[in-house]
Amino acid sequence: MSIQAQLSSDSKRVRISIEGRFDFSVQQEFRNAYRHQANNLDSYVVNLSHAEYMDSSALGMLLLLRDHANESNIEVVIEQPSSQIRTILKTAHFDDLFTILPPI
Amino acid sequence: MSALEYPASVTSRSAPLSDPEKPVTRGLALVVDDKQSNRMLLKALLVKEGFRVILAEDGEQGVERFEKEGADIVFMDVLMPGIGGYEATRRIKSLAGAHFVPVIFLTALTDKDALVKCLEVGGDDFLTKPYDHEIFKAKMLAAERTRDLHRKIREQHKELSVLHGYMQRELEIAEQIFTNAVAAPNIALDSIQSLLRPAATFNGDLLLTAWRPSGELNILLGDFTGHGLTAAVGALPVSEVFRAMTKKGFAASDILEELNNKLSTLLPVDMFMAACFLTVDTESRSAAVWNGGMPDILVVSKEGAVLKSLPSVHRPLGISGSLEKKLKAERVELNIDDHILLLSDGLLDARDPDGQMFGQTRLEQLVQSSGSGAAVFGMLTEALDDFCQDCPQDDDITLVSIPCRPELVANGQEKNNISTEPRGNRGNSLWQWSLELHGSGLRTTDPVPLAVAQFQELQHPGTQREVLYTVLSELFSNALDHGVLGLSSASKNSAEGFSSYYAEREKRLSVIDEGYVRIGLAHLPEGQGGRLTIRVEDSGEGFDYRTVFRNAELNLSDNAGYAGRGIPLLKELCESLRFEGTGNCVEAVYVWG
Repeated sequence: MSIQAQLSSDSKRVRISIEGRFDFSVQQEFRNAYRHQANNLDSYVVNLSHAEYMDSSALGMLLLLRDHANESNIEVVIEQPSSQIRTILKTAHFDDLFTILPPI
Repeated sequence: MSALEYPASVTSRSAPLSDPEKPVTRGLALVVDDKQSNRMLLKALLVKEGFRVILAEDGEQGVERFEKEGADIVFMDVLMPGIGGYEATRRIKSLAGAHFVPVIFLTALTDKDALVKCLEVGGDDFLTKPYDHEIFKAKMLAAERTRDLHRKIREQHKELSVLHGYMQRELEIAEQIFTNAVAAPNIALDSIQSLLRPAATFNGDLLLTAWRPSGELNILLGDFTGHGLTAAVGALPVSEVFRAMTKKGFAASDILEELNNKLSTLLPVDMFMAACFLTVDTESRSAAVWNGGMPDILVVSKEGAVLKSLPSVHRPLGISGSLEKKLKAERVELNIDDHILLLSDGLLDARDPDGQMFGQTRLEQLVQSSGSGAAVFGMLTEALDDFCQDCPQDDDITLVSIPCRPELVANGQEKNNISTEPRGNRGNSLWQWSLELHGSGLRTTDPVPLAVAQFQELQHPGTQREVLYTVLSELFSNALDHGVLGLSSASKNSAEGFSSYYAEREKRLSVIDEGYVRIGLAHLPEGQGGRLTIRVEDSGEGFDYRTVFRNAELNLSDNAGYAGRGIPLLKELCESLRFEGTGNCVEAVYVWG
């Protein structure tokens, strides 16, 4: 599995970890990772420390997650992107839309 | 050949039902065996199972019969005089080509090597003699099952290729229409160098150019999420907004805001458009530049030095949510022969055969080493080709080089032709348009530009606009001045009278609160052009047009009423001019094309 979702012990946070290419090929998996989670969450954390590559459809997938989370007032955090992925997030000014850690 | 043997071809295998008594056969079986007793035994068994059977006495004959008549299944002995069963199988399999014809070896040999070889030469199964009839039947069924599966896959593959062909064709047609609608109206493409290389039939990258009314050039390079048809659908509304608003002279920030609103509404959440927007004014040698989510825009000097690198200042367009940052363009000073370089990320992410990306560093090094701004484009496209070789392309690639040259700004002639829509005659059509102005509306609204614009929108006759403008102006001012306002044209005869005429006109117009003018246009297509019937009716008393016309024909005209109404001019420009009623209604026919 290139995508894993893990619920924190206090059931407040879902951490979605992506390994390898973050592009359209993992679209379904990525959706499944957040779709059926409980509603009383504080945040989704998208961990990109093991993601090697990201394209514009992955940006689109992040927007879908944001849309989904906004409905229930859940925060979306993107953490530990590689320098290459940071450049992509920065170019798209996604720091306007998401909390990115460490900050851009 | 027995009565049960029918020819069958290799290509067509559906057996004809020649004997109505006989049920559907299982197809044609070829038995190759040098012993007659074996052949007869097997034949009896196969006929009972519903096969038509052909026989061969050795390998050569087996191959020959297969070549001539084909077979749906082959039973092969191993040891025979001549080429033997192994070689015969090789040849039959080779003749069958892509068609799967199962070959089952029936042999008295029992050693491991001999049996392994049965499969190595292309056989599909083997049975050692003497064989059990039930096992024989089971193996035969298994072989048929495999064969039928093969046939089914082949058929489906064929259907798929046909469907794929249709779809490809449909895509190509749609793409052509699409390109015509989106890209064909682009202008100034002689001066701008561009490389547009889509990854699929449809391009998710989009290059638009249009002149503003004041002559500056607006350029938009957009890159939609993904590529192919889904990425391209957004291009139509974008080009519409871009062209309509550019033509009306809106500022870059207004156009960007409208594009952002439109795309946020239209596109699904996960789709958006990264974009560069440029307004280039070579007269004042400057450009307004905005970059939302695209790679850095580069300004390259005449000598090939990178003067400026303009990074993305905003997120792409079409992502809903408030605009945290204003969509404000940055002003950049330019010198003649500076070049502005726009590119999509497909260029930076293009891969070589080893999977390496082209990358920003390589791009900048190439630009620096070019030695000339004008050479950068050619150099980069060449370097890109060398780099990618024939690697499959993951994303749409676009590279645009815009030189700061005087010819980029629309000249007089082009300014007149600035139009949103495809240039040239848009095809004539049948239509009507009308406008009625009442009271104070006559003071505040000039219907002539509206009517001319209407005509242009629908027909785009180019240079004939001025003529139509004159015709409509004359007709409307007659209706307003002499009809509604009741001014006498006689007073316009002297210079003095002229100014008092306009003073009186001004006065009456400022207090007008009743009366009307109706203007109606009706267009009929005719050949390459058309026939425009213009009707103007006013609420005034009219005039004695019969006397005026008669005098004109008798050449008795020193009549001021005639000249004052611009009638000779109208008669000159129009095919016909006819007054009706009390003279408060006029119909002019104007032919163009």
